[in-house]
Amino acid sequence: MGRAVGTTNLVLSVANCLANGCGLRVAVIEANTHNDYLSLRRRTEYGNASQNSFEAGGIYIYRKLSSCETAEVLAMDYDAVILDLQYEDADWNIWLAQCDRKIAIVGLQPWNRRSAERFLQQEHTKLQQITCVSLSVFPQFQKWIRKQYEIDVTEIPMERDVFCIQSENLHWYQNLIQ
Amino acid sequence: MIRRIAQTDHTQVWLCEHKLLKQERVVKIVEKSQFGARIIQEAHWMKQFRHDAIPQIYDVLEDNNSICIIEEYIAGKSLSEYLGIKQQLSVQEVIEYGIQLCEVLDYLHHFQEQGVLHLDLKPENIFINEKNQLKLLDFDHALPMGAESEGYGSVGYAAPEQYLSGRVNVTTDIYAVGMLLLYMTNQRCIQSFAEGKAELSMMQSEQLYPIIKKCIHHHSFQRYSSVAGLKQDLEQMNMKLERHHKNKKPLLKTTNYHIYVHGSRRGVGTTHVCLCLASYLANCQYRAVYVGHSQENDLFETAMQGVLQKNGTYRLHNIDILLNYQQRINCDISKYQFQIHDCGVSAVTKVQESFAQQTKCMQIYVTDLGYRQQQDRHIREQLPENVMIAMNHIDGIRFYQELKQKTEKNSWVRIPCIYNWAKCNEIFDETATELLRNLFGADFVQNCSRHKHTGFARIWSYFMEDV
Repeated sequence: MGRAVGTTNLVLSVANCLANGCGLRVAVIEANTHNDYLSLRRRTEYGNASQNSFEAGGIYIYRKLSSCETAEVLAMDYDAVILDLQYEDADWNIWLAQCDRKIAIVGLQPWNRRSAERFLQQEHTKLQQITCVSLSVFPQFQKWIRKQYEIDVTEIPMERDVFCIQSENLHWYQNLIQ
Repeated sequence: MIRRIAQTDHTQVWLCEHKLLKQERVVKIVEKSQFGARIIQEAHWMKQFRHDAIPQIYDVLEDNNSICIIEEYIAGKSLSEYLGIKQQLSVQEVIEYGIQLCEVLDYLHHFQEQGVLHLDLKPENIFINEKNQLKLLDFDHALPMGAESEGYGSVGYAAPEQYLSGRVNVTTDIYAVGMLLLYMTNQRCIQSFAEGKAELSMMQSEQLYPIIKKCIHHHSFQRYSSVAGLKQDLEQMNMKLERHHKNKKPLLKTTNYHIYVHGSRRGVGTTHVCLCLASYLANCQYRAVYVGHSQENDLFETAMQGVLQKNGTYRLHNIDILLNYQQRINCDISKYQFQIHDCGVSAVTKVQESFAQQTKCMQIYVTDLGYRQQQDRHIREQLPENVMIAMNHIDGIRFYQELKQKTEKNSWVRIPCIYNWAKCNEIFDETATELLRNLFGADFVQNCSRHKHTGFARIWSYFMEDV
């Protein structure tokens, strides 16, 4: 929900956990307009000629895909495909409905509160199917959400390097995606 | 002539005094008809020997009926008499006498160019003098190296090949040394052991257990190949014991030990051997972790049936498994005392590299005698000498047949058939103990037998003294 809440960070951490921690074939699709993965492509050693698909740290990354191309990737033999969606972007609702696991990164910081409240209000009927997480949890806001919507927002463990996550956080990621 | 020391049907042994020098001598008078040639041979050799532990021959006289040998008098007692009085020797005393025995045998085995085998080592032929020095007597049945055995030996001390009149070598004497060490440690055990009524594990001194076991192995090629190796192990044991006595303060050793296991091909059992070793060490109450390096993801599904721990390892049955995370997950396994690295299928160069990286490590190369034997033999010959070769998928009979024909200098060990690595298996425990001893030395495994836990040997005190 919004920018700089840690979406790409969490996507790559989870992808790393699945790919290297669980030995799965994992793909990440940048289904938003942030262009975060372009910067990643430039920094990694593993990029191939294509700017729209490359491998980084054992994870296959796709960006700027059309709907058809996205559907093709989903039909490939990946064990897990992670869609990096932006709330209220085009087709986000359609893709969200198709996902087996729905995770929402809610910014609980004071400067993100408005967008978080809007999301919770608009999607309150689907909240039981969505796991809400946040980079930093402000206890008062957390309590309010629990009271208002009867859901828990858990804190994302801090990772300095998403391509080398801490072993003590492995359990948290595995619980998140189960 | 002072007095008669001993007498048999054909031999008399007298204690005499040299009139001029006033020194005591032993005079052995033997009837020529019975053992003339042998006695002369014995005298001929002993006259050439120059070693403190071998009595000196001063002269050999001969007439028509008998041969008279004048030799140095050893004031002391035979080992059997000595133990009869002392009843029990300490481990360090046994080691001390063992080392002295090795020194004199080393001299004999390298005597001139050919070497001489004693072939009749027994307590009655070993004397301990007043200065606690060991003397070796009775070279009646000694033979030059490479000779065929006459089928003579003393029950309980003779090696199996002596009973079969086969070719004897230094390992035959080493067998007898092992039995003598056993005798000195627990003389009551020796007779029962010779009769097959007792097991080696009944002996009282557990520290010497692995050394003795290696000396008295049924197959000569499984024993120490020279007395120098045996002596080295005894000396190391002695130093360890001395250190233990001096330093009573607990000393925690935080050294990590690395065991690298390489395979000759997929499906040879590399991962299985690693898991068995990890299970064995875990049962010995050590902190051991299986570390996967193989590119294959075979173990992921199995490991994830276990419990994920904070350090990133999976706890499955009794072992910790660290999967190959491709260095993408930061795990700290420094607190494990043993790290067993599953290197998967490895080229020879990789085996050499991984050995060079660590100072406290051992290498195991798992192979079998499958269809690519020649190719595999060629690879084995290129392995560094200190890599242990573990033969899997092979029965004992074939293993020993192949062992006799092996060309490489590496030691071999057979991996027994184990279906479930998580379940205790005493046969594998023995193999693992032998493996660790061959690779880390007797000093490592001497603690192995100090603490026994459900049939497994513990090597805890090698790392933590006085715990």
